[in-house]
Amino acid sequence: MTDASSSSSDAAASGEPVVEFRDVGVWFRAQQRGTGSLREVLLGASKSKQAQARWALRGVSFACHEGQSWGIIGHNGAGKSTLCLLIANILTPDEGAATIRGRVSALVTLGAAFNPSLTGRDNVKLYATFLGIPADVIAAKMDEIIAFSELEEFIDEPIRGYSTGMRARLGFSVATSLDPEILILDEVLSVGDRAFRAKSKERIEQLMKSSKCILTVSHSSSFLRQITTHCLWLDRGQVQMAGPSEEVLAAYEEASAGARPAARG
Amino acid sequence: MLSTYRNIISRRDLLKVLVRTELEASVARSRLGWIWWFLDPILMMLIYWGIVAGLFGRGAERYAPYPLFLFTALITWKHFATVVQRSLGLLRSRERLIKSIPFPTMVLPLSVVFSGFAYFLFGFIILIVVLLAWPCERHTGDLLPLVQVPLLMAMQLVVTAGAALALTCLGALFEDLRLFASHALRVGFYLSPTLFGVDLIHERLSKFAPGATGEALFTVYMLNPFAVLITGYREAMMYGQFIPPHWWLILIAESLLLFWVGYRTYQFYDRRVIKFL
Repeated sequence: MTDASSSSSDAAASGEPVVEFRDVGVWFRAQQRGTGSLREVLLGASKSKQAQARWALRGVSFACHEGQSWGIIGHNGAGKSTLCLLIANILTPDEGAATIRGRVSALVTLGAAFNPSLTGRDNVKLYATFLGIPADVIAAKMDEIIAFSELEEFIDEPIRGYSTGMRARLGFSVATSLDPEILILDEVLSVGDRAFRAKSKERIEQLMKSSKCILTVSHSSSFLRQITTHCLWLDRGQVQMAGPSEEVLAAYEEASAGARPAARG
Repeated sequence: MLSTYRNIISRRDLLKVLVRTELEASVARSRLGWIWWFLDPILMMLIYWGIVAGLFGRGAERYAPYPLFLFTALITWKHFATVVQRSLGLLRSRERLIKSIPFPTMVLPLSVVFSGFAYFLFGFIILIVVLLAWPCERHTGDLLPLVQVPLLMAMQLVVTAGAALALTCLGALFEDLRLFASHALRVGFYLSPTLFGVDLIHERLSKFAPGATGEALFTVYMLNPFAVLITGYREAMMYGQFIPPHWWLILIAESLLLFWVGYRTYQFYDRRVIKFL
């Protein structure tokens, strides 16, 4: 159903899709603390694994083509983050196939690679190396990255002394220093004070222009309506609807509006 | 990005940066900085020496100079024990990182193995300096056995890496392992020839079961790769002697097997384990 709806609307899109999901499923172990973990290993996990497994995603199929901007919408626990982990090549599906063609940059968690004992400059190197940026490119971009973060004064001090906002600024500057082909954005991403937020918004818009394909995670339909061409609506790990933003978001709003009073009553 | 050896090789810059970062951070954290790299093994040796010599008053003549005899074993065992303990909690402690950037996560345990090995090498430098100033009376004068040292170090790296790779995954899946590990490591420490030499074990075993049985039991004891490693370092560095060829065979076979098991285990759990973090 999803394949048909997206391909019919993408007559303009040509070539292979940049992101292609075919019947993708990922299961998680239900979080149970304490008992059973060792027994589970020793006596074979198959039976209890079945009982504890919970599908975070199942039967998900969709395709993003070059030039499209996709929104991923759904309530908490619908599987949006898991989908992002798959697109970012961090998780691999337990079922089906996810094909990603291009360099992905996920602006979701920034600066997780930082080591608080090291200076800002060393942390830029460390984070950029994790992102796979070659050493010579890092060296060439170093001044630009530092300048964008506006941390010149503190860059040779250990980042242990940085505020949360300063670390986020540094993380954002490194993470956005290379143009990605596929960009994953989180709606709630906001960095630093008001002035820096305006600057980072500008940088994100620039990245959105230069990247082939953008995926934005959100539960706000009004926000997605502004920036996306297509949407994927996830509900409890399954695709509820996929296609042009207008149709999907209208259906999503209708369903949410209908569900709320019903749930209360 | 999967943790295949190809991806590791292509991301060796990351591994290098991680090891350097670890060493730099260890300097930045403490006031004495890099002095701790040398102070730490010396303090550890002084404590064990104090316990053994002070309490039991033995060991001094038979294994003279006992402090160095002890020191050789302690730095070797410490490399392994630290790596094991750190790898068990490694993936969980780097959860945010693993879930935000795609990279072959195998570089994390490998960087722990290599930075731990750097600390081992700092200890080894002390050993060399002290041995030059204070040569053993029992040394044969033959320097050729020193060729064993690089191969022993290589095998130590292989064994430790194998254990680290397997335990990194298992530690993330079963948190209980970490609680168990400190006890298992303590047992391993006392079973390995750290405070005593393998000759003592040989003596006891041949008294307990004379003849072939005793020899067989001794071979079983030497299946512990650290029994061979520690004895190898002592023979080469302190006494100028070679270790028997069949110990080499045991060590090399076990190291490669353990590494293969660890590598395959890691590849199996590589992406799967992320879901459990």
